Parts: sequence; C-alpha cells; structure tokens
Amino acid sequence: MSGRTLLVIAAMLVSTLSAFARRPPKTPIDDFERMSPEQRQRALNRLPPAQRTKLEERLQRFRQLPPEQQGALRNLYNRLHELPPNQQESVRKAINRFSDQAPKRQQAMRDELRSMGALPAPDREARMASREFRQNFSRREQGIVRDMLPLLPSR
Amino acid sequence: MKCPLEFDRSAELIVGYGARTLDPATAAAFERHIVSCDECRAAAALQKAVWAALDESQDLRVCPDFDRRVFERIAQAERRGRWLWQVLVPAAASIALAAVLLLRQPPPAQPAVQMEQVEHALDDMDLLKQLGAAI
Repeated sequence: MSGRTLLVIAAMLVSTLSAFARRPPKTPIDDFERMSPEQRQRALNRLPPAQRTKLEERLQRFRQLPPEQQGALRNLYNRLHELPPNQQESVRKAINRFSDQAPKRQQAMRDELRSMGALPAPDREARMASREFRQNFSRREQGIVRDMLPLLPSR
Repeated sequence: MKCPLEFDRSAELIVGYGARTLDPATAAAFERHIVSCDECRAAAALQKAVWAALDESQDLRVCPDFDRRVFERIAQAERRGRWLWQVLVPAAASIALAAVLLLRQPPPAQPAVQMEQVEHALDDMDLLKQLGAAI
C-alpha cells in the first residue's frame, strides 16, 4: 500500500471522526423531529386524543425555546442519561426538592452550582466540605447541591 | 504413373516428395507424372515451398537452456499470480471496505422512536429547565 493511499485513508478517517464530533447531542425529541411528517402523525395518532394533544403542546413549547436554551437542555439531558439509573433518579429527586425551595434559595443554589461547574472534581468536593459552603446552605440545600453535582460538566 | 490423387496414400507420396524422403524410383516416377498432371504439380510446388520455408527457419538458434528458462518464466508468472491473489486482492478489498465504511453517510434519519420515550424526554427537559442557566 503506497504512502499516498495511507494518507488518503487517514484524511478520510479524520474527517469522518470530526463529523461525528460535530454532531449535536441527540435526544428522543430530536429523533421524533427527524421523522417524516407522515411518520410523526402516525405515531401521534396511536395515542389517545387527550394525551396526543398534550404531547403536541409540550413539543411545541420545546420548539419555541431559544436555540441556545434547547442546546443547553440537550446537553443536560445527555449528561443526566449518561449516569447510572439510580443516580439519574437521585438527580431528578434533587431537582424536585430544589423546585420546592424559595426562589431566593433556588438562586443561591444555582449560583453555587455555576461556580462549582468551573472547578475540577476534587475542588468541588473541597468546596462542599468548606465552612463557607456549610454556613451558606442548610443541610437540606447542601444535600440538593450534592445530589445535583453529577450533572456538572467534568473538568 | 497412375495419378496419386486417385488413391488413398496420395498425401504420403506428395509430402514425401517435398521432404525428399521418397526412394529414387518413386521420386522419379512422381516427377514424370507432375509434368502432365496440373493438380499434382500444384500440390508438389506447395510442399516444396513449405519445406523451403522450414529450411530457412533452421537459422534460428535456440540457446541450450531454452527449456529451463521457459519453465522458470512460467513459474514466475504463477508466483506473480499467487501474490496478486494472496496480497493485492485482499489489500484492495480491505481498502474498498474501509472506504465504504468511512464514506457511508448515515441513512436519512427516520428512527422508530417510541412516543413514551419522547414523553419521558420532555419530562426530563421540564425538570432540567428549572435549573435555568445554572449549569
């Protein structure tokens, strides 16, 4: 095999891999949106009318989100689904507990998660163990933040 | 002499005349006959021309190891053939397969997604939306 042939094969391999890397994260919603209109209609028609109407409304709401928010949600969704099922469940429960908190406390936890997102994993643990963290958040809030940590991107 | 073309061994006689292998008496009788027989004369002339051409070709010299070299070249050709099938063809097939795999575009996406999965994904999206731009 000549060097030129090897180069051509290598170039093809690199371009294919980079195309895969550029591929946006995929969710079942994206799979549904990629179906043909006829297929989508057939799939929706299999649902009871009330459920179908509700689903169509939810899909429409998702479509109306700004593209950057859709992208952020897709990333979060994929990070959530990369976790083992039991961890996924504890993240979901933590988000539910989070939404039960007062808006101000929600914002404090969001801010904390955002700053932790910029840290490497060992530093996140150190931050959780810090006196400042323990003073800023109740035990319940600390638990919520801890359970949501797996959603943070790895550094 | 009776015309040789009228009996079964005519070819043998005419070829023998051209090759000069007839006994002198038969050769002389045949020479007398062709004076009066156009067909035998034509056949004898043709045979003589063939033998003259063969005589000229005797000047071609064949080297002593002609046979060995012929068989060697046959063996080389066979080895080349084996190499072609054992190395080149599998290599070409591998390259073709790699090219097909690399160039293959994902088929137009028409996944068989379950509506239940879509609903669960929307549930998760709604849940994650509560985090805002926190993460």
